[in-house]
Amino acid sequence: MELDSSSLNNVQVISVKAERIDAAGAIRFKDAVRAAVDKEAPRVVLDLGRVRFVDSSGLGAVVAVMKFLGPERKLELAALTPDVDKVFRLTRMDTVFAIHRDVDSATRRAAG
Amino acid sequence: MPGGRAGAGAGLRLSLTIRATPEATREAVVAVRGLMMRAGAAPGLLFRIELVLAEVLNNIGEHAYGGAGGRVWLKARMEGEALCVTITDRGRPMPGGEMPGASLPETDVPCERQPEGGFGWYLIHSQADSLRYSREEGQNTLGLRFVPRAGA
Repeated sequence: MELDSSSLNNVQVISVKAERIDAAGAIRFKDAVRAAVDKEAPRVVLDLGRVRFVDSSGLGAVVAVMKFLGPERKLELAALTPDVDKVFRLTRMDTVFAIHRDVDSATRRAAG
Repeated sequence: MPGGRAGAGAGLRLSLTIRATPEATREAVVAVRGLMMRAGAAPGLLFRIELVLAEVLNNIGEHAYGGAGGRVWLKARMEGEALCVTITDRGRPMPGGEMPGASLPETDVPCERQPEGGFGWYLIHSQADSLRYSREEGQNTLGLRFVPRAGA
């Protein structure tokens, strides 16, 4: 699975370049994000702006990435599209992750 | 809405045979979503159909067939405003002969104990309007109904 990674204000932003994180792509997603994570970055934001669909396997994969980062660094999410946002809210995972409206607000918060 | 009581997709009939693999599931749910979208179904209904079918088909692949990729038959038709879907497989029966319940895993736990699974049946129960499971002659049949919801 293709990802873009960038850093701004000590925040690593990992952008998922796929329309779906589903059972067919969950393992590739998990492996790709784990490989892309900058061990030094104090904050990691997963930009889901291009992801239109997440199923329970995809949700589990996002949780697995959060655990991979460990308790010291919370995985943050940004730019959830409507259907992805619904899956996080329905499963109450919106209470587990910090969710930012967009990447800008996620990185601005660190600066201000 | 034009056409009175007949909702979006009136006259729609669909019959698919797929392998119970994650890739074939993805293709099938994208196809059904596309068909329902062209038939004029509202975005909220499209979301529910896509998500529930993905969860059901992936469960069949993973649990009924244990990853062996057996066949699944999917039929869909409109009944008034409701989309009725029947999904049949010849894999293992549901545990205890019943559908799993609608409980959500506990999320009020520390990071390292957050659940990575167990969301599927909760999503199926909450997003389908009715569900019926039967096991007959070595076949699992799941009947699902989706009715447009106000605002969704």
